[in-house]
Amino acid sequence: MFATLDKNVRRFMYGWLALVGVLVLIAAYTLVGQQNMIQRLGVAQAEELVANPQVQSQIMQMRQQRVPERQIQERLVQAGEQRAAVLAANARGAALWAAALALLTTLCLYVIMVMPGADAQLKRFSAYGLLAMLIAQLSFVAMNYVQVEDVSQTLGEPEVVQKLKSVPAPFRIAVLDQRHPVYNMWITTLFGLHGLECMNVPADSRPTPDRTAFFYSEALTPARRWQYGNVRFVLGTRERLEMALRQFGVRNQFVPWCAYSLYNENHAVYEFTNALPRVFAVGTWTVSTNAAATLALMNNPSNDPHRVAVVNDATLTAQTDTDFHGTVGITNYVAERVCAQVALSSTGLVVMATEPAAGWQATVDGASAALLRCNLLQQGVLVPPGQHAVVFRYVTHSWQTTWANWTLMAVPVLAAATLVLWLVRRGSAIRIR
Amino acid sequence: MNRTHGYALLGLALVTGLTFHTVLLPLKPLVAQDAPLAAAVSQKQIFASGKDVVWIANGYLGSSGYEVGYSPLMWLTLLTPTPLVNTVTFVLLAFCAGAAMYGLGLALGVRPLAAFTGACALMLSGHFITTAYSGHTGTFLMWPCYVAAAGLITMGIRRRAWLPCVWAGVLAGLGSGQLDVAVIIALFLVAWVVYEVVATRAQGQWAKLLVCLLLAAVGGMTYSLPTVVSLLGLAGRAGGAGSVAEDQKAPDEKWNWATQWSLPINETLTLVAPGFYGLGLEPDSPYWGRIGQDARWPTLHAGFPRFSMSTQGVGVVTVALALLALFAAARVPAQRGAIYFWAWVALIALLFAWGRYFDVAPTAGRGLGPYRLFYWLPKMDSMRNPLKFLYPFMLALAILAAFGMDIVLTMLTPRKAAAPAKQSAKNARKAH
Repeated sequence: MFATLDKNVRRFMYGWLALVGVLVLIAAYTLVGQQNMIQRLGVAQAEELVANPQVQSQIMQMRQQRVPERQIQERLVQAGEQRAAVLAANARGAALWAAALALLTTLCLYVIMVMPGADAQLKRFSAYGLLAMLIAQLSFVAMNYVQVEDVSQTLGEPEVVQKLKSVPAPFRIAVLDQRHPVYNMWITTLFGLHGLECMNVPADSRPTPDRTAFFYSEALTPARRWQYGNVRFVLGTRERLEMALRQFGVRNQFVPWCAYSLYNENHAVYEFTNALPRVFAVGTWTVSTNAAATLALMNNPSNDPHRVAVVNDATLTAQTDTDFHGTVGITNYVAERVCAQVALSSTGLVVMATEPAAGWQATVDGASAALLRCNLLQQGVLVPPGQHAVVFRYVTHSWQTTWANWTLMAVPVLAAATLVLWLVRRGSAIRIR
Repeated sequence: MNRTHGYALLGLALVTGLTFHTVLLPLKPLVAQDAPLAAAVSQKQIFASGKDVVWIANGYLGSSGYEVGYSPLMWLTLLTPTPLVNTVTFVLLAFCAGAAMYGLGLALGVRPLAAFTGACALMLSGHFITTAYSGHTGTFLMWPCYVAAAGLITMGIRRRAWLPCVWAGVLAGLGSGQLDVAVIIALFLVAWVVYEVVATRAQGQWAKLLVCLLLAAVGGMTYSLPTVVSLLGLAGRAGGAGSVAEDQKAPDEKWNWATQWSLPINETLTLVAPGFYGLGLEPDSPYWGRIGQDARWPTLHAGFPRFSMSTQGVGVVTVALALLALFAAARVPAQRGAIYFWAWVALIALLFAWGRYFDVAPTAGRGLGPYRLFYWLPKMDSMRNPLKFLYPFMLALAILAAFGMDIVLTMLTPRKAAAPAKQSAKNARKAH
C-alpha cells in the first residue's frame, strides 16, 4: 500500500497507524467495557467519598439515627457509581472524539502522501483539513475553560460582610470550613476586597516553617490560634460551629453574633470574647528561642496570653510582674501604620498581633525602638511605665523594585529606538534600490 | 509576503476569538480563579491612593508586604474596566503567544502556513490555554515573551544581527517573573542557542556573533535581575526576619512535596485525548486521574487524592505532524538538525514531566529517574511540580508540528519543492 512512499515516510505511516489503532482500541473499550469501567471507578470513588469530611459527618449522623451499616455502605457504593458513570461518559466522549480525529487525520495524510491520482487541489484541501482539525479539537476543549464570572458574587457585598465591615478595625475573622465553595470564594476575593482581615488563606504551597508550625501543625489548638491571632469572629454553618466549639472545649467563650443563610444552609458568625486585641500589653514574659518550646508554652492551658508573652530573643531577660496593669487604645489603624496610646503601671511589652517581616519598625514617643519577635508570629516593643505613644510602621525599600521600575520604563524607549532604527534602515534600503 | 503575515495574524485573532467567544460576544468577565477581580480593584485603589508601600493584612497574621512598583501588566489592569480585566488580559496574551510562535516558525524557515499551524498548536495547547481558568496570569505573560525570545534569538544568530538579540534578552527577562517555569524554559533555550551557534558555524563572523550573544545576555540579565536575586535567595536573607522554626521535612517528604504534580505515564493519553481523565471542571467533568495526588493518599487517604483544573492536550493532529517531521526529517536536510534538536527536547521534557511516576522509587527520598537529575541540581528541590516540563514539551511539539506541516506542504508541490530541497541539501553539505 505504501510501496510508492520513500522509506522514512513509510515508517511514519506504519508508526502512525499503530498509534491510531491504539486510540481506536481505547475508544472501543470505553464503549464495550463501560459497565466494567463504572464498577471499577465506582469502588475508588466510594473510598474517596468516605475520606471527605462532609460525607464523614453525614455518615456520623446516619449512625446516630441508627441507620444499618449495610445500608450506609450501599448508599456509598451507589453514590460512587453515580459519580463513576459521569467519569466514564466523559472518558468515552474524549476517546471517541480522539479516535475519530485520528482516523480523519489518517485519511488526510493518505490523500496527501499515498492516494494515487489525487489532484493538487484535493491534496491542498486535505492539508487545510489537518489544520482545521487541529484547531477544532484544541479550541473546543479550551472553550470549556472559558467561563463567565458572576461579578455579583465575586465583587458583591453580602449582608454578613456589610455587618462585619461596620465593626471598627482592627480585628481578624476566621472560617471554620474553608473548603465550602462559598467561603472559599469569599476568602479568595471578597474579604480582601472589603478590607476584612481573614486568618485563612485559600492555598499556600510553600508555607514558611513558622507558619507551618503556627497554622498547620497540632502544636496549637484552633482556639488558641484564634486567640493569639486576634480572631474576633468565626464563620461557618451553625451546626458545625456548635459541634467544633464544643469539641474544642471553648463554647463558653463564644457568643452568636449574627445568623444568615447560604444555599438553604443555616450559617452563623460567632464572636470570640477571649481573643487578644490587635495590640496589647503584658508585664510578664518568658524567653524561648526554640519554636517547638515556644508553641508548647503558648498552648499550655495554664498560660494566659493576655498577661504573658513568649519572647524569641536570648538577649532579653525574662520578667514576671503579677501586679502589672496596662491599657492600650488604638488611635489610628491602617495596615501599614498602627498607632496606639498606652498607659503602663511598670515596664511592659507592647505586642502587635502581626507577623514580623523585614520593613516593620516601631517608635515609642517618636524615638525608634527595637522590635522583638514574640509568640512566634507576633512582634513587640519594650515600653517604660507611664503614658506613651507607640507606632508600628511598615516601611520597605528594595533596590530590586527601583531596578524593575526603571528597566520597565525603558521598554517603550527601546521600542521607539528600534522603530526609528528600522525606519532608517528601510529608508536607506529603498534608496539603494 | 506582508499581506500573508497580515492574514496569518488575522487568522490567529479569529482562532483566539473562537476560543474565547463566550466572553467576547458581547464582552463579559472571564473566570480566572487565581487572578480574582478583587485583586484588580485593590491594584487600582493602591494606585489611586498613591501609597508607596503595602502591607497585606489579609491572610495569616498578615501575609506579606511590598514596595509598590510597576509590572508589565499594570497599565492594562489600570486602563481596563474592572470586570473585564481578566478577559482583556488573557485574550490578548493568548493572541500574543500565537503571534510569537508564528514569528518563531518563520525564523526557523518554515512556510507561513506551517508557521501558522505551529502557532495554533502552541496557542491552543492544553497546558497553556486551559490555565486561563486557573488564572495563571504570570504564565500567560511568560509564554509569549519566551516564545518571541526564542524566535528573535534564532533570527539574531542566523543573521548575525544584534537588534533581535537585544530584544530576545529583554523579552526573556520580562517573562522571567514566573520564576520556576521560566527557569525550565530558559535552560532549554540556552541549549537551543548553543545548538544554533554550532549549526551556523560555517557563517563565521565570530566577533559579531559574540557581540550579539553578549547583548542578549546583558538584556536578559538586566530585566531578570530581581528575579535571579530572589531565586538565589539573596532577597530573603537581606530581609532579616527569618523563620524561627526549622524546616523539618524528611527527604521522602521533600521529594513527595516537589513531585506531587507529576504526569502519570498512563495519563500521557490526555495529550491526544484531552478530557479522557476529566477536564477538572466540577460538576460536569471532574478529574479522576492522579495528578496532584498526595503520596500518602493511596495508603492513608491523607492529603489530596488529586488536583487538576486543566488538561494537557496537544491534539491528535499536532502529534501526527510532529511524528511526520521526525520521521521525514531526512527530506529537509536544512532543517533536519533543528527537528532532531526539538524532538530531543520533547522527549527529555516528557520524561521529566512524568516526575515521580517514572522513577524506581516513586515516593522515596532516594531513587533513580530522570526527574532526579533536575531535583539534585542546586535549589531545584524547592521547585515544585514536574508537570511544568510540559511547557518546553508543548513548545517542542508545536515547532515539530510546524516542521511537519512544512513537509506536508512540500508534498503538495513536489516539483517546485525539489529545487529548494536540493539547494538546501547543498547548503547543508557546504556547512558541514
